[in-house]
Amino acid sequence: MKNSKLVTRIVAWLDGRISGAESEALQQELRDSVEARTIFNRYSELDASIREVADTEGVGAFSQVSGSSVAIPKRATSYYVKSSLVIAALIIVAFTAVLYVQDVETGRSIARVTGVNGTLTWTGNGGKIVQGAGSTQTGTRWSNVLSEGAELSGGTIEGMAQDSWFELEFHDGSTGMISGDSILTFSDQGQKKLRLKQGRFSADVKPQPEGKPMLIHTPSAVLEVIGTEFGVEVKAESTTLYVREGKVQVRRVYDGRTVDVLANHRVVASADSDMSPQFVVPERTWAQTPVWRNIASSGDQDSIATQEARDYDGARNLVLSEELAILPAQDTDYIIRSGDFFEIRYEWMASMWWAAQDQVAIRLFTTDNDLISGTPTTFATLLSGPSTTTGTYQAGSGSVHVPATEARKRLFVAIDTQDGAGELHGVAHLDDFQLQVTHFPEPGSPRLDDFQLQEADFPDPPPAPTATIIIGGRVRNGDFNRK
Amino acid sequence: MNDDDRYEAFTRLLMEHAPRVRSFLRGLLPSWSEVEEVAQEASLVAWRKFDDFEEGTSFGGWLLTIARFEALKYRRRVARSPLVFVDDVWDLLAEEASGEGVQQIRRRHLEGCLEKMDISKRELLLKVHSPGVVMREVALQAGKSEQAFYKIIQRLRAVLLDCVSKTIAAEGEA
Repeated sequence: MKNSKLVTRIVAWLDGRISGAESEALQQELRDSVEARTIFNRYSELDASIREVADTEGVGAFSQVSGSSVAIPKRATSYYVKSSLVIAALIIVAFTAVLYVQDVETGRSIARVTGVNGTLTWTGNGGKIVQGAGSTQTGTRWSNVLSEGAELSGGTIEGMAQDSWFELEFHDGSTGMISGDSILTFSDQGQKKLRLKQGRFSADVKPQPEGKPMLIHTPSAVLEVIGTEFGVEVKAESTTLYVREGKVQVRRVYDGRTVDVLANHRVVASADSDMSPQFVVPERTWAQTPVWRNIASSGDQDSIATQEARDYDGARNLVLSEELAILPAQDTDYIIRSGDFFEIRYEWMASMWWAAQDQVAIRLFTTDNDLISGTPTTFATLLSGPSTTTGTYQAGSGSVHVPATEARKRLFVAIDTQDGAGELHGVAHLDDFQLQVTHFPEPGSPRLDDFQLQEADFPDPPPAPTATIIIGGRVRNGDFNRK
Repeated sequence: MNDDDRYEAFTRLLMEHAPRVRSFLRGLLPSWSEVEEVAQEASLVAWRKFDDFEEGTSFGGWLLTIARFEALKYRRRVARSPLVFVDDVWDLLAEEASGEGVQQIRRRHLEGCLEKMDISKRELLLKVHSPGVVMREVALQAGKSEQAFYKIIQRLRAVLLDCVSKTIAAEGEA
């Protein structure tokens, strides 16, 4: 799953259409991960190679082309590693066949296919191999066994391409998914036993029967799952586990060392790792972010909304971008009253490509139909001012008295940017956003001396106006404010 | 070595190593036109300095070093953009991509795999990688939304890379 996002960013960069926020995330991955750089190099190399062919031969003339480049010798270790992997693959395939043979013999259904995409190979039903390519929408080449809703009795599913994925649901409601070039064998004879030979597998596992946890074997580790949500990635010599919820026990095959991995932690099991779980929370998309949404007309709800990196307070922060494709906004569910006084506060930090003149722009607006998709009328734009620091957070604030024309309308708020340098690439980070309203009596309401002049009973003084938080703390925060 | 021999030797070496240089530059520069521009600059610099090249040493490594410096010079001239990597990422990529034995995809690998693709998919893939072609315009011509079109191309690339990787792995076994 993660690599799928990485590949999307890499090809967006290669195509020259990457956004500032996505580019920042891509560069962070390239900085942090050797694997990410390897994938990047493969795709850039592929791009160059295709362009060489397209450039020199042109479209339509390809089939007459013969090879012409000069071979560059590969290192001996390359042969050795690849041969070793192939041998290892053969051994594992032979071993895992034993896992599901009993299910195959009985033909008992243990799971249902809930989603398929890309090129996949399924081996089940006594060794019958089914290959398919396409999606559920164009699945004419698929056998029934590889279509949504098909019942499976255990076997091996193999993703044949980077964009391949396969999702299944066991009869107890536990779900699992492989993506990319992954090979998974699964069986369930009262206890779910899986073997992930390579690639990525993520699962949401319902509580399992006592004494019969789900077991996931990889070449380098054994995972014991009682009931939780997690993702695991297997490479030739390592297993990386990321737990989203609950707890998973990991036993390293190399020396039998066992650790419990808790939610929001990741551990790498390999011969030379320290097996120490590391706290990590990945970025989230707009689709995964409550309350806030990306309302840009060309906005992609799957682009980055919040992340942990470059944090203000140890929790996640909102990623702002000058790109026109990103405009975070929310329907505050607040109906404006005449006499309202709005105040905002937040912390923000300029990041990559943010020019000295660029600013954060908080826009308060209503629409012609009280829906966030309606035609907007912005009645206040509260600017942050230029960034005064580099690499550290600074406070932003502003306030406005609402115009009487906006009374009785629904309040919407957008966290926008204002360009100051003519380059729409700047990225900034924003945290602890707060919007509050104080309602002051409308002009024309009875005053205290009115009552005294009329010798009426002295009434209780009206309560002093107090501020009400519309957004802030735990209220409508989109999971990026400090709890 | 007279001038003709010298020129011939240089040309032969340059033709041999140019694809490697362009592949190296592709991972650093955001567009193919920039790759070609910097590759040409590097070739010119290499020709001017060819007398300094020690016969018997690696011409490819020498040319890559020149290309890396030329790319760096080019990078300093271009505007700030999400397409231009920041210093540390640039250095990491440049360092790793210039290592020995990095390039494995050879033209015959690619051609073999392209031949296995449906002709319409193959031509589409080559078309969007042709000089001067804007992917957004091809998407429009094809009647697809940009996002849908990008996904199609991404899938074709993934299939091709998968095929190429398997071909290379199979050669490694042989």
